[in-house]
Amino acid sequence: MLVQPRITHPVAALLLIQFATGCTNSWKDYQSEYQQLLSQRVPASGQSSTSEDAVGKVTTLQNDDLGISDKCSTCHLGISNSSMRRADQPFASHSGKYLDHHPAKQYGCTICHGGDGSALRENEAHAGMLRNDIVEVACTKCHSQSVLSREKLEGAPALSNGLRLLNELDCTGCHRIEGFSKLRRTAPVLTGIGSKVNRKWLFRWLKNPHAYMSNATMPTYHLADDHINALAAYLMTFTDSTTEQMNDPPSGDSEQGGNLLREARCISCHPFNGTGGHLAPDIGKIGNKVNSKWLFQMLHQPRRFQPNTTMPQFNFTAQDYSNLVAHLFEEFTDYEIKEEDEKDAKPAMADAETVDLGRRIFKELRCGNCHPYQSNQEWLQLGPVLTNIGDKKTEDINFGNSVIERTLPEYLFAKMKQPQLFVSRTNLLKMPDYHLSPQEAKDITVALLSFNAKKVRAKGYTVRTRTPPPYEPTGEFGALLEKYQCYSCHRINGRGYNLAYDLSLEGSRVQRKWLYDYLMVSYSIRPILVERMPVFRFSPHEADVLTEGIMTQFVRADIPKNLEKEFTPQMVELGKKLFDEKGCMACHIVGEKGGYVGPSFTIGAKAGDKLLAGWVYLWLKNPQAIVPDVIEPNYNLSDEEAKALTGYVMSFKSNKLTVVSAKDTEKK
Amino acid sequence: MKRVQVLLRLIATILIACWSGCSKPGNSIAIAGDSTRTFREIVEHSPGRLGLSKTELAGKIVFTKYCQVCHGAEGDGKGFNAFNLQNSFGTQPANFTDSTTLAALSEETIITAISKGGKAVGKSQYMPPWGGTLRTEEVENVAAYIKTLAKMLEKTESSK
Repeated sequence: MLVQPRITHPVAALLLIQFATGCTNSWKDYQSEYQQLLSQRVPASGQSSTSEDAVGKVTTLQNDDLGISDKCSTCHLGISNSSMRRADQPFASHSGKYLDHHPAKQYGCTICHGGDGSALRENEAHAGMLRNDIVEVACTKCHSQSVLSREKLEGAPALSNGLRLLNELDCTGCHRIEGFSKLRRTAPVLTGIGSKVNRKWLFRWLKNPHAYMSNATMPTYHLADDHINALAAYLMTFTDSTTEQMNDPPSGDSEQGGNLLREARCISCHPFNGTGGHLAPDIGKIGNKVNSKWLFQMLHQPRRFQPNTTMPQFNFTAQDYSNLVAHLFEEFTDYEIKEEDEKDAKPAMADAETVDLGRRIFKELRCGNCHPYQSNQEWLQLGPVLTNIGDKKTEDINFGNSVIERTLPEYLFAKMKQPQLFVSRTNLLKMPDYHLSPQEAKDITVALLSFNAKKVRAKGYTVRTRTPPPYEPTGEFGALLEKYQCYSCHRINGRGYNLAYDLSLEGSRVQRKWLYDYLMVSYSIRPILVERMPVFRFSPHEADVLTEGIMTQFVRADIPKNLEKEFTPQMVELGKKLFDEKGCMACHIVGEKGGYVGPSFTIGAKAGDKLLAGWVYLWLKNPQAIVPDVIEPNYNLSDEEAKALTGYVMSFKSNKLTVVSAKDTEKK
Repeated sequence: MKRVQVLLRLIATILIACWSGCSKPGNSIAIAGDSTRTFREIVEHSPGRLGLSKTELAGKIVFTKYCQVCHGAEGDGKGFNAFNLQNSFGTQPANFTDSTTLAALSEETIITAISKGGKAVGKSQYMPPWGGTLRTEEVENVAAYIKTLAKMLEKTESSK
């Protein structure tokens, strides 16, 4: 039965032989082999490795709630034994931390891996198992997809990323997926686009967005040129009367604009022709795209055109904005394209007929389902419903003329990667090309496969949708956080992006005076990062409100207060000894020596003028408990050591000599 | 139904073969052209992967995050912070691309140095201990990746 004409490759044949010899091993052989393996190992650090695993009998992991009765551990004997981490199969322990949260005794194996848990012969048991590279599909049996699209599930990076991409790429604009809630539409609002961009740019953009911007989210639709022209003509009718009636902005000084561009740290979020952050669109060729009046207005009031934008509003003057506009147009224009545009001066067709054709194409492609615009209506999604796409049978898939492997995962992968593969005379495909990387296409494939009907219904196993209301402080403080879009970079009480430091504990971490000064003149704390805090030019009043809000609201009660009182010179002395012994200066600068990985303790602000002792103490005890992915070693310090080290770090102060150096002077 | 079963068996066969350790990357299904490559192949043979095993690749990810800043992206000991270490303390991060250096280091020494710090193996205290931060598995993965670094340089040099 296994010898199918399809298996012609010599490697496949080899695999079959391998498989056939593998079959002869019975579970009893494996058990004695495992016993041998155990006896060879020296029992690790007092922990006896004598097996609690039964010898000579079949073990069954049973869970009636999940309908599980798995005999897998009869052969997979080391699955929960961490000393078997590097053993060969079937004895290797499970990778990662999965079993910490899902003990094999409770969950069994087949709930995630598939296959036949009741079988004892290898080939029968392993038949129908999920491939290792897509096994994350099983997570959604219990974990909600909507939650995973917002919060990364640590053990399922591909799945979480795929679900996030489904949201970000607005797949639900064309495809209905029941039960998968969408966050918000991410594509820009088209209202006023006719006053924003020039038509030549729009044509090129619609033809291939990636040619203009390498990080474009907009897909390529492969339309005919006259259709693109019509669509562009229609979009150009969406004008904004204020911009149209406005006079040209005052002329600006490009050089000063350049200084402002660096001060405002635009590059933290915007890439310029591929160099820079990744949170915002590439503006390396913005001069070929927009109209200066629009740009001037947008910088003034970013949310007037895009209510959901993450772009902060800066506190600059009109002249500043003019300078910035002048600089952007001078430096970030592709002059070759500009010349070409000017040479080809014949006006594009914009008669009523063309505009009407554009309107029909706009509707046909469902552009408005992703891009909010004037009438804000949504049309019925035109793509296939994806609610149970993971259950689609191979015989129902239209593979067209493609030569891919006839399986659902491969079909989905190819469709994401190269939709045009499936275009034929009889199959006019509407699916656009998103220019995904292989990794992205794979992640989306895993996400799509997870939309299936194989869900666990048993009580106590489904991870309920946790939707805490987004953090929203009120009053002037809240309004300022919105105005400056602090959430675009900082995470605060679970809301926001984690590009910069999580501010949830900032009030317990830093001193009020330092915070105020930092807001007024932000400097670079970690030189290793490209992303830096922009200079917003907060007014003194704004800085006051922000400082007050942060110091009173972003605090945690259990952080010890007044730790300073406990510091004695002896402790500080011990702290200095530890500081040298532990090599803290490999990463932190003190005086003229040290490394530049973590913040300096003496440049910029002195640690004792900036930090609060209670926080430093907790941080030293376990940095990862405060910031889970921070690159700071946990030295497993005792309470006394941590306190001493805190005392030493806090002794770097600008207003008086440090305790240690005072003592040194005494000696002299 | 029969067809599905056959396919499932085929998948299972491949999985078993992988487990028994005889299937190294490269001798799986032949690559005939981009449109016929399976996504597993495309992802596994992507340029970023450099022919690393799963363990080594996991180690590379940890290395990039924790070690690269001093030991360098290539592991040549010339990371962003190496200059400061040389300047301040006259010490230099180990160069793992040097095959003699690497050959002298047993995997056990590397694991001890990572988890207990440079001092534990008689080297500088400026190599901090990561055992309190990284899991044993992660430390082992990094060590496995470090072992590949000299080899990788030879490979790129011979291909030049």
